[in-house]
Amino acid sequence: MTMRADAPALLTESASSVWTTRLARLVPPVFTFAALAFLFIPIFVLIAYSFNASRSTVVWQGLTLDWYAAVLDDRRLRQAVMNSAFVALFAGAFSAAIGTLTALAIVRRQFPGKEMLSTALLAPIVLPEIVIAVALLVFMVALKAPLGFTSMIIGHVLVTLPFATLIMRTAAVALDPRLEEAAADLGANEWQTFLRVTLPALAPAILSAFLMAATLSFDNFVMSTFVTGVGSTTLPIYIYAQLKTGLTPQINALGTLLVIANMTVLIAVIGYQFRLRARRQRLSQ
Amino acid sequence: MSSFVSWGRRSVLLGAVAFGLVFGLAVSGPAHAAGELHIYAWSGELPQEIVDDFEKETGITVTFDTFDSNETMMAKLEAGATGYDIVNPSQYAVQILAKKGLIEELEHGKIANIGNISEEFRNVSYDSGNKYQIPYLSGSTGLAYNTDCVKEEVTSWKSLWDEKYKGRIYMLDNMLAAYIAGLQVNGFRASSTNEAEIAKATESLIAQKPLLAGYNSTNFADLVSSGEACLVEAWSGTVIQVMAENPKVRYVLPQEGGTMWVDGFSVAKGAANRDNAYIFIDYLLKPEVAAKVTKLSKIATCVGKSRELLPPEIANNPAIFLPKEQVAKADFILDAGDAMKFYQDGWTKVKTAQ
Repeated sequence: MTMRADAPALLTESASSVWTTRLARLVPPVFTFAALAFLFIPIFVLIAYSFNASRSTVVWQGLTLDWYAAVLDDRRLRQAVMNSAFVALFAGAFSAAIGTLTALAIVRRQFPGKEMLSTALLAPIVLPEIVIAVALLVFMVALKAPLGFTSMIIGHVLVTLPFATLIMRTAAVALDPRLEEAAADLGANEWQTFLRVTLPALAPAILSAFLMAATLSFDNFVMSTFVTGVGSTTLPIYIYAQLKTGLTPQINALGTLLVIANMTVLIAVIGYQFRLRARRQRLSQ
Repeated sequence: MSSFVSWGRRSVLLGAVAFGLVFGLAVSGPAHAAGELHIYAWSGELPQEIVDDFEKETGITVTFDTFDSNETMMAKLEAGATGYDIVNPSQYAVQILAKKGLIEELEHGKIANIGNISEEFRNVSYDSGNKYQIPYLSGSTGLAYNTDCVKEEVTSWKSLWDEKYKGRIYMLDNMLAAYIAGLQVNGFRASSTNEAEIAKATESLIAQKPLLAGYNSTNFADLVSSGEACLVEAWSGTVIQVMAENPKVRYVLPQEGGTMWVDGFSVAKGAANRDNAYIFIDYLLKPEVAAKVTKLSKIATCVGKSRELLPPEIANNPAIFLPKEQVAKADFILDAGDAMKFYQDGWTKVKTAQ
């Protein structure tokens, strides 16, 4: 009797527990989706307001393309974008180059102080950037070196090198040492092995390291604000300086153009890696 | 073989170093070439068109860099080795830079148009006789409000303490700017260095906090224009931009005074292109150039004669050109010197108060 009385209760309980499990299973995707939406919605808002006819970045007043004209028309803004691109290109290249050589040294060679070097390379990630920036500024001043593009590129290499090195270390670890041994067996000297075997095998990782470093450099504000000099005002510094007179949708228009530029690079890189993989597959067949 | 290999590696290193050096020289370039001028200035105050005109007229190549605050600019100059010829400090920054010897005493003989500076800016308290700074652009810190929400005529800082507007008031997110209201509402001067007065202002600012929607010095003009804010403490130069679009936005200097700011041009210590710096300053003081600056930036210049050359909607706009008697009454924010500590301690209390 008691059993029978209990049975339906048990049934509903297990049914409800099925529902709870199902609901529970829904939580991670819903939560993930909400979090991603939260991250991406501002970008869509940014793009939408770049077409705003009002000069406010919060009050909607109608459609216009004027802000895009304003971006193209603004010589200081164009100069700042050029400066940012210039610094990012060189900082990215130096970071990728130094990062590659450092990673190969740490992964392939034995030398005293190796552990210390690989730990020290992480220091710029752990230390607040502002501390490194002040240190570099003081150092440049002590050397009586003028501030400008050179100090900007040095500063950005300092900030981006740990990331480039991390990427290159992962790639170097994954690189089969037998490839290099085989090259040496076939009579290649160390230089030829590096140029013809190691470097091509690491090329995709080097490209990633370069893009990572260049992107970080393009966005950099803290280091830049300390070590910038005559004529080297980059985009983040310029935008921040504009806060005094108020931002206009011109910044949104510029942001939209940058998003498009980033997407183009991203798609190009993915396409390149896709082609590379296809070619390798063809070669291995 | 192995020596060849290590030689190869060393040559790569040497090559990289050499490349770095050559590259460094290439970008830093000849800093002292004739016909150059390096300006370090506020963004949005001196329009690029003016710089373009100047380049065309004189053949001097101008490099124009922008800073976001007097503090950033001063830190750069203090670090030394900047290469800037002209800097663009506000009044209190002139005092600090002059005291530290980072800007030069101006040679008035090289500025033919110096007589064009308006009477009221010739003997400013922070730089008597324009010894270190040619005052150029000026504006004020006062109150902006939206007539949709504020039905009365606002004349006093007290409105920022009015319960009626609870949750619809913003203060500037800037220590010295917030203390303007805090000090003047108590009847003190905005440039006070008195510990007790600053403490009283701190109390007022803490008492005001429950009424505030927040501290904002970036888009307060947008907020008052959209009606999200009823009343805001405001910089005139920022509000003027939205007033052109929205007639419901009003700007007033409160009866307690409000403050004036003056951004001008100074010659950096050891400027490499000193002569060009004076040519530039002299150029800016021409009435027709000053009028163009005001027309483009909507900020008043200290060149009095330029006002006659402007269309009436700009020349008679009280948010651009304040009435003379109000200018006389307004305080300047000055270098607080040792009293800065009282402000900083007080501001920390304000910001952390519940």
